[in-house]
Amino acid sequence: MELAVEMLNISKFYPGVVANDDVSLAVAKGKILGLIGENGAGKSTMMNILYGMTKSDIGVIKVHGEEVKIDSPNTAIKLGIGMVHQHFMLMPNLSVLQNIILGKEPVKNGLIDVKTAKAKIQEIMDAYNLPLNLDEKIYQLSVGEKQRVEIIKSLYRGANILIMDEPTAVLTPTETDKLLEVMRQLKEQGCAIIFITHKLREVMAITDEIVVMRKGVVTGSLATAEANTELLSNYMVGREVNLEIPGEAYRPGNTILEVKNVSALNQRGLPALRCVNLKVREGEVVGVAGVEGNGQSELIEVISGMIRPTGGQVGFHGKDVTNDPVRSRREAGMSHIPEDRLKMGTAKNCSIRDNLILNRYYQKPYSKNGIMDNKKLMGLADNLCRDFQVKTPDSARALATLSGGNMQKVVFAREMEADPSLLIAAQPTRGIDIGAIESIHRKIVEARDNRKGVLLVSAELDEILSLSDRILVMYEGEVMAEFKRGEADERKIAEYMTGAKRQGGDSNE
Amino acid sequence: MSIEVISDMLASMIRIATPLVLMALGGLLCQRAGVFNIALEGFSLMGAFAAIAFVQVSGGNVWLGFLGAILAGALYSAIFALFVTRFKADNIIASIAMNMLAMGLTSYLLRALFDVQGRIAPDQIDKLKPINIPVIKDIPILNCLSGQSIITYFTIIMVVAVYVVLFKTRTGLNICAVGESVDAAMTAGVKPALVRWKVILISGAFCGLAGAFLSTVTVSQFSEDMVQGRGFNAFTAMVFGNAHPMATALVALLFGLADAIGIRIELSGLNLSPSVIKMFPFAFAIAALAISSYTGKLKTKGVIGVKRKKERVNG
Amino acid sequence: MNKLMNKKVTGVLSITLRQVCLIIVSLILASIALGVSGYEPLAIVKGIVNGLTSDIAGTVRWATPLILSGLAICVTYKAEVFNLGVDGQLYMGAAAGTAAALALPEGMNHVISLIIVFLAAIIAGALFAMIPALLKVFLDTNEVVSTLLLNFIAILFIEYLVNGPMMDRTAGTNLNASEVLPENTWLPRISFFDPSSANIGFYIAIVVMLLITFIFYKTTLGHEIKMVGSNPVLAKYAGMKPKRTILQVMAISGAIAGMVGAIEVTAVQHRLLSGFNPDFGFDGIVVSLLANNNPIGVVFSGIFFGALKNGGINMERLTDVPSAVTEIVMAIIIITISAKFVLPKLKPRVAAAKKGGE
Repeated sequence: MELAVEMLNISKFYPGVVANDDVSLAVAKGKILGLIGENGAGKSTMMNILYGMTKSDIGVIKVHGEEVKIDSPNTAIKLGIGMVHQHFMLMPNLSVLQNIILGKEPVKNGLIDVKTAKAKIQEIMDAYNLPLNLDEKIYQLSVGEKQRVEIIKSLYRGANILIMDEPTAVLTPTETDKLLEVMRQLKEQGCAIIFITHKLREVMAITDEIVVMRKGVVTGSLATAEANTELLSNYMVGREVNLEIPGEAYRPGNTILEVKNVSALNQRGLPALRCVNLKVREGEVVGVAGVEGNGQSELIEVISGMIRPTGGQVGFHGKDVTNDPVRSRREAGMSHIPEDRLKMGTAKNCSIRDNLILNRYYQKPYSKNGIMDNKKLMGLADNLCRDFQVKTPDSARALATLSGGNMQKVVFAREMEADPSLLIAAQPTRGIDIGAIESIHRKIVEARDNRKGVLLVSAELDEILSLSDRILVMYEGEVMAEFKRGEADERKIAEYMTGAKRQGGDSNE
Repeated sequence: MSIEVISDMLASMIRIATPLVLMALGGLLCQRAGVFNIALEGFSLMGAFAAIAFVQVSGGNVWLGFLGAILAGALYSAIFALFVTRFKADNIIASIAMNMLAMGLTSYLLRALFDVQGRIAPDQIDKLKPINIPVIKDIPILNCLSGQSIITYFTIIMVVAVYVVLFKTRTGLNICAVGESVDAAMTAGVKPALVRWKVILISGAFCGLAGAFLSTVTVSQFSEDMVQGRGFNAFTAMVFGNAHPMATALVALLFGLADAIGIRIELSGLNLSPSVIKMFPFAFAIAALAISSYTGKLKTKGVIGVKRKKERVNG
Repeated sequence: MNKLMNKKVTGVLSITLRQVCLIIVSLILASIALGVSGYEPLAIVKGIVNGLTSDIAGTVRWATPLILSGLAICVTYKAEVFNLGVDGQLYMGAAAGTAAALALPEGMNHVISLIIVFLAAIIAGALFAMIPALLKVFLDTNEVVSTLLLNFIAILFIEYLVNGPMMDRTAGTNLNASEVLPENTWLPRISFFDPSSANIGFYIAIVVMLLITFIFYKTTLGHEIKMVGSNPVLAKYAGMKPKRTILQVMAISGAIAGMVGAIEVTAVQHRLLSGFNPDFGFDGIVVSLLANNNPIGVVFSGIFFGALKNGGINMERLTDVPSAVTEIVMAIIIITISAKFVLPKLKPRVAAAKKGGE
């Protein structure tokens, strides 16, 4: 069994932190290695080293048995290493063809030889069953198709070692199955694949070997046949993680939020929501399941007031707020934890205090007639930092001085402080370590037990299943199905998530 | 209005638009590579000065003037390139600096080198004769294309050249790639800094030539601040033309037309203040800008100006 | 708390030190250029020193419009809006002020006349700034280009006015100017500085600075400006109205610009002169940048550039060195400031690495 890649005793140091500490892994030709671990475990650093985006301080890399020095992506590519990035490296306004051939265009008479390029790519598409329309522009493609472009990019350059970084994070269950098929095909053709993911089910399904990393070291290295999800979780986190949080009995109260027949357009002017109906009551968590991009963002924007619907109404505590500004909805008791907390929820170059007082700065007693009482605001900020354990010596510092986890805490602190009656939580645990996920889930259950309403939008089915009292499934802007807790499992929900099925009749109360 | 008058006006339009098209092409290439370059004004001013300087020094040779202007424009733009790529300077602030520096430098050099203030006309200038194209010069209306300066014909060729390079060659794809996504470009092995240097230097050369046209063809002198906002009009033309060479050239022509109509009106003796007439191209520019932003808003597919929003993930 | 004060003070000091270094570097470069061209190398430095000592009057005269322009710029800069149209708004303010001054009855109370003239100028400046502001807010039009284009239109408009409706018909030849304004609309000059045209506009500038400082640090508007500038999506999501904030800052900026026009017309020229504005708007950008967009710093920065400008003018008059050197110095300062942003960028990268590679 020939080893395609060996990374031996890799160590990488940054000022103040050890990203990789004597890490070794190896993949054989025609085999798939699963590389798993939490955020910050060091797996991305390892792959960046392998792909030449950064250099290790100690250690040796061997490709096909020979020791090599990889100092740039170009070198890696020449060695046959290809990387399918988690965040696609694509150019939206250029065509699929252009994206694939960039940097390696066949040239004839000074001009790009489109015919030759197309022929070569067609060969690849046929060999691995990756069909695409080469003339379409990237922004027109679905996520699954975009990923195919990324894969073809590597194959076009002759890669036989593929690094796949969290490829299934944004795919529907069906698209994931298709991808796994492609990976099997690649495997058969002799490719070696390193598959980075945090989805243990997939790791179990497709890999031959598994390496688990935590805080820069390898905590487990085993054959997939010998592994199971409990064992792997343990290796990943170092302890048993229990995501089942018991809550009080389900006794929903008055309707807090009512969305009636709401339709809306997205940023491109295309319909994103079609006659959506939903209700959230006191003391309940309503989970909206579905792959991102099926209208969930627009739903939240309509409810929170960031955009206006083209049809339908939004009722909050019995009052029609469809056209009310964001601020008045917040004042009426709506809080919103945005899906991309760092992009939309924080102002990095402002102080921590500035970020914390966003909901209150204009209200009495913190300000009067437009003039702010900085002392009181400082007190508010300091209290919030203390209550929510935001680690900082002083709230006047810039937000950027905080770690990612603490920045998230700032967002939570701000939104929870407002003591909302409705908490909208969009992808609340995305990018958050398993340890911290527990505490966030706990807070959501707490809110629910305190007779608040929670609208939970998440692409993580596990999260939805564990927390929701009622589940709605969205696909292409419509609510396809509704279930009470316990009525459906992952497989069943997945069927609706992909639009393959639709629950008969309306999904009204 | 007689055919001759129309012909005349069209010929004026082409003449007036020539420097605009050159500047706009420069701005276009920079824009495609993700460089917001509104220093076109300053680059051209340097070219205008250099042209006259070289003409004066060489005793009247305009070819040297052209060459000098191109070199001066390119060298001057290198400063911009350095600060914008190596030092990651804010494009807008750096552009403002370059424009300011050009004004100050040309003013200063007028005094320091030639000991005059305000303007200088070379002692001798062997202006190029306009080129008459044999058959075309006799076709009514179309004969506006004949009898233009060689720089104008060069410009037309450049429009086509930029189109071909941008859309059909490796270099062009690299330029577009850098403008679309620096990360994607880098992982594909393209060097963004190098690409940006190239486009900025080319824009410097184009603008230098545009400036030379202004000071040696349109008139025969250099006067302080003689670019008079044309650089900004050119930039606007590029925005309106969505950074596409053909469309941009067309819009620049329209600007030229606005100017030409203005001159016509002035000559015709209508009682319109010359200052108001000079407003035409700027008013046109603002309208063009507003329209293009509006349609851009509708399309969301903008190449220019609109900060690229995170790509919405489709189901 | 003490630690924080110390940190803030050291922060301000280090920035000031950086700026002073920049100034020194630019002056050195300019002096070298002068020497190379055969002029006296230290001329510009002497000019500045002169402007701060024996010819303070001239410095005050020039500092006034520079400080105000700087303030106009720093207001919008905080909201990440580039108002390059201060020159145009300045002209429109001047035109409106002139029109008001010429229309007022001769015998009217001095103070009231001035107030009316200034009000007219402020409103005109603010309204003219609303054009690019509305275009930006409703059509997403890039304000950098629109304000620049509008500048040219404003300049041409003034040209039209003084050669047409507002032409001085009492003068024998075409002065490209309006009639002289009646004395009851003249803004008093500072008699201490006679015969310079240094005027009480300087005090007005200080008052405006205090106002802006108050707005930035103690009002909800100031907080909104900061947030909108930092992250407009966040601002909207938190219930602020970024569009309204942009309109507000542009209005304020235009109003201040209009004020500059009014001061120049009523205190210095005493009439509306075509082309009277030596690009105060662009100078304002340099002033504000050098002051790190801090209103208090703008005053010091404005005084420095006032001395520079004054020095340049005197230099040209007394020696032979072209005053264009001052423009060159300013351009060098801007471009080196924009480059200076490299160093602070290194720090966050290291900090990010600290948070651990993934």
